[in-house]
Amino acid sequence: MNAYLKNLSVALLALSLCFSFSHTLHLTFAKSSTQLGSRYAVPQEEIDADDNITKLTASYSAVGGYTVYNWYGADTTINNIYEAAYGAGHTYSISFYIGHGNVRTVYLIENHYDIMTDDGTWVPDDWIYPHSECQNVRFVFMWSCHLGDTIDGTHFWSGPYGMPHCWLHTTDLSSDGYADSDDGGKAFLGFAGFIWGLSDYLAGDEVYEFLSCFYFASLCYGASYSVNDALDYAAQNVWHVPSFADTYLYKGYNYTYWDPEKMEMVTIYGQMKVYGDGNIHISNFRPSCAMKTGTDGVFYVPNVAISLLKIEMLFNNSDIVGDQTGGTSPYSTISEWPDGKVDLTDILFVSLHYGTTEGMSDWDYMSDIVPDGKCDMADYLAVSLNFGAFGTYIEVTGVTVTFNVGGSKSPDSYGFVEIPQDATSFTVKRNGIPIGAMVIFW
Amino acid sequence: MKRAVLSRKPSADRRILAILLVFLIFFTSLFSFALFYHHGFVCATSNVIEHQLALGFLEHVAGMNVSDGNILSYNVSSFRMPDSQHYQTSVRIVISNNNYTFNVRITFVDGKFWIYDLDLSSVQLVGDKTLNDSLSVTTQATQEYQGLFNATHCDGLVEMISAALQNQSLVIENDNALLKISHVKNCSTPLDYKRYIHLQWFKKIKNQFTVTAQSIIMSVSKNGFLTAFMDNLATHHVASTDINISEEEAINISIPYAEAYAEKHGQEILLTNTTLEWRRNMNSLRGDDFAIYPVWIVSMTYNKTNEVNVCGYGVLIWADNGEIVRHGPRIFFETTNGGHNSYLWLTLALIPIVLAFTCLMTYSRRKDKNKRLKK
Repeated sequence: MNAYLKNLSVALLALSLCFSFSHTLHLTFAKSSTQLGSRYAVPQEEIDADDNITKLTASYSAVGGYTVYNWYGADTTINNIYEAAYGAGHTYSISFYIGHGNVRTVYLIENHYDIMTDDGTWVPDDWIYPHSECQNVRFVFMWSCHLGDTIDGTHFWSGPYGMPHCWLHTTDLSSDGYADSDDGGKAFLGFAGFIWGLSDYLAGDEVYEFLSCFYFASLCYGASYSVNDALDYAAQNVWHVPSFADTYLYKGYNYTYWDPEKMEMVTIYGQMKVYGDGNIHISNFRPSCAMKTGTDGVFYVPNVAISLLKIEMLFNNSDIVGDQTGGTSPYSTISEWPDGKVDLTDILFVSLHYGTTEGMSDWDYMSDIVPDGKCDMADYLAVSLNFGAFGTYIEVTGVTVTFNVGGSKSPDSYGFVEIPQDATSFTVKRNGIPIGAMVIFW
Repeated sequence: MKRAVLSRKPSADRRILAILLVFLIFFTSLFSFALFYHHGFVCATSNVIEHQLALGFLEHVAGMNVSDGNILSYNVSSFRMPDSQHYQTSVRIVISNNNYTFNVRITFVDGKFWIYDLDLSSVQLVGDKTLNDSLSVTTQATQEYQGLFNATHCDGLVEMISAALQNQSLVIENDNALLKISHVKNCSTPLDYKRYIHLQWFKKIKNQFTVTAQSIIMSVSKNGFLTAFMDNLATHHVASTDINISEEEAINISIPYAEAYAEKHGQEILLTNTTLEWRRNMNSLRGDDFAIYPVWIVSMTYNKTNEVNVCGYGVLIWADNGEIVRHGPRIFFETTNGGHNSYLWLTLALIPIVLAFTCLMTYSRRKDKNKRLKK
């Protein structure tokens, strides 16, 4: 009886340690990405563009491993703004806001900055400040007028002010995190003065693409691109200049127009500001490995730290079994990518990994065509039998993934399928019929 | 059925032959691959060309020692940009040179060199190079680049840099090209040191128009390193120089769009302004998004701002074929619906009270003082 109790207590202790450890891990790595945006006093063209960009940043955030809260539109409420400043309870959070911004003077001399809810209510910076006390938010981008006018601190009469200060809960930020980054691990991107909307007929295309490129690089390729690198990448692709420093956003811009109310020409000024640590990487997300097996669509779950899979290509032509390499991979960590033909490069690739097994340092899952955890004669024959053959891949539609633990899952809107915890193998199907696939694991 | 059975036999023989052949290839390939990978670091087979070009650029154009021992890390990412037909390959190299560690990123588009960028963050930011020293670096880089990449489109750049050196002029212009040089006189930030000299050489379109997508850009640091080199001429091209639509026609095409919007919102067109620019085919509306076309930009101002802060409208028209690129309102996030200033009246009301109180206090203090003096 004593031995039984002893064993039971040891088991319970181990179990409770496991639970507490997994809880700690969950808290340590929990990341959230919040999207906010107000439609108030914004034309329909802009609402459409803003809706698209928030969906895009949400999508890239999901790829970057974030839990996404896209609150653009009706969900941009006071409570959700506070929740975003709190990081939605996640210990590492990024936030994006698009909509009107405002600077306002109180007690004649003290400035405050406001963002807008979807119903047009201004939410002042000092109301947000208490909700960011936990300092969960590490990166904020506000596509709005004036919200990057200043980093700032605490007024004598009216308390904390400045959006960078109130969202990141610190004033210890470099005033030019692009040219002279601090090492604080936090960054705020915003605008001093005015900024165009994403649907503006003249600059809209450019600034929309700028945002798209920035988030693409910083989230989908975050391991290689810091915030500053992503700004450079966006500048290169939109304005064909080597760096963000060459763009009008960084240098500042004027816009002169006829103001019908004042009956005179009016010049307004704007400049994009990078406050804090421009060298931070807001994502280190990258796919772990890739697999391509036969037309039966059978795979095993690789024995590495993964939680998602994405089906990149489908094929039902048995001639291209063994087409493992020769193409250009869109992922930095996946070097092998099929090119539609089984040729010498595929044979050489399998030859190179011949004799390796899962877990070895030179193991590559792409070399395991007959999925058994080892690259052997079966894999070699699979390639060699199709030597010289070629074919095309099928569009990824109507796909389901059936796991050995039961249940069938369809990819989400970003193409990802969550791998059940105990699953060890799965079959890819198209319209219910097994089919060959190229699968990336994240 | 019979035919099928008969046709299997030669196929089976062919397969046996194929297997024997591939066995032969297998063992020879093991040997050749072993040799290939012995070279030093792993690189994907599909990026071999970019790998060689990147090292060639570093050695010859940037003037770095790129022997295997100096390369600390090498990373390649290839991807297709969203909404683009072009593949970008980004080569990231960490290199050790003269006790410094450099981070280099070289970007290729469809295998062609596009951008070189040197991160100097780990290099001590000191230097005493003059404008002339730095311009000599750009001259040498251009000559080496031309030789390495057979870049005949750079012809004329070296001569213009020489002219800038001779004349001590920061702007040199001729019928075909424009050279602009800027330099930072007082370097204060790491960025100033990195971009001590910034040079941009435009090839003119129709001997008149300049656009960044038709230019070569270089930067040199205060300590004489080539820190940026971008060749847009190799990657982007002018798809049309024809101006088949006149300014008047462009305005006539645009007016109905602006009027339709104005009518909906109770506005009227007050002013019209037109400019001609060369723009990239963004969003791939006409195929290749790296192609450049002439565009008429017609901007119209309304007599008043509407309920959603719109006070103008614009239409962009391809000047060669007259098709609309895009049209829409002028939008910026500046709103006339300013925030509440809830303390304004309270503050205004408090001012006279505070003033009166201060005067009263001063008066009573003086009165007390006078009383004490009298005593």
